[in-house]
Amino acid sequence: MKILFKMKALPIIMVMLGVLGCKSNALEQKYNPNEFTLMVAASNHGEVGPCG
Amino acid sequence: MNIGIFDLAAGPEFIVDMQNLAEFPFISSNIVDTETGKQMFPSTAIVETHDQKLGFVGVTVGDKRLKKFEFLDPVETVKAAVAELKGQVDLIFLLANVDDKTEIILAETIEDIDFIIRSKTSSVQRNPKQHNGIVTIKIGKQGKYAAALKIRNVDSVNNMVNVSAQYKRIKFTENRLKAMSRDLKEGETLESHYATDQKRLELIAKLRADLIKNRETITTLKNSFYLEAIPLNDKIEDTPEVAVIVADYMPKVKKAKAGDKVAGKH
Repeated sequence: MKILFKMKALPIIMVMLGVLGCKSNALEQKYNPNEFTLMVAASNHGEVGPCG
Repeated sequence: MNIGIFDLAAGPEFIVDMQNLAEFPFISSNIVDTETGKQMFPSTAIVETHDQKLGFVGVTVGDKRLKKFEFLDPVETVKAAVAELKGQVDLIFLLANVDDKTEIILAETIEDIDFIIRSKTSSVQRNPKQHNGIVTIKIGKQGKYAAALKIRNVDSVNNMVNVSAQYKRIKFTENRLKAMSRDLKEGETLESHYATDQKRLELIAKLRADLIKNRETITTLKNSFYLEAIPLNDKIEDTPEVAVIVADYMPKVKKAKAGDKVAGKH
């Protein structure tokens, strides 16, 4: 049951991270256009990324 | 997103439902639906930035308790997927839901991977390690951390170079200069403000030189990367739309936890 609930929370976590990633990338264009940023995270033992 | 073993706990139908809802690809090179005998997800995904093509491969070590799924050999499937991506992309990222032993085998066997992004680990390595020229990123589990992986000046010749020390020094130097600038009047420079304080002037000159040197290193080095681990605590502002979904969901979690306690579960 607990795992099932965690599973259901997974998309929520992923959406939050995705939004965070886009926001962070937009703010960090400081040093060079040749730079890009990937946002990565392990949610429930899967990963989410990249963004931007 | 790479599919890990916990993502499969609720069975094939559930993960397929999630896949259909998601606006991003689910990938895995070695998960097969036992009933149909077919691979469930694409092995790879390609994402384009403004000037780079990035290839992603997914893999899991699997779990024998998940009877509805079969897990093919991780090394062989990743090898095939990487071979398929090579030549099409500038960098290859392996999203690996594997244990430490399998990670080392993958890093030692498959040369063309640039980054291994690990799950199935509780480690948070703020300074990523390199093995056989491949950088491994470990940023914990269960969404406790996100990480910003900044990559610059990609070429196909050099190994990746960790410039975390330079980034940290730039941040530190900027903060020191900012702190010293608090009392400046309009039009005043740090040098004019501290004109009679020789020691402070020397420090300002040193900090400015340091800033130029580290920025230059970062802008000229080929294939440099920097990882910033971000704890997803209360300091991270919620996205309003997502906060509403979470608020709606939490009573159900509390109810389920209360049910577990009554049933004597832990």
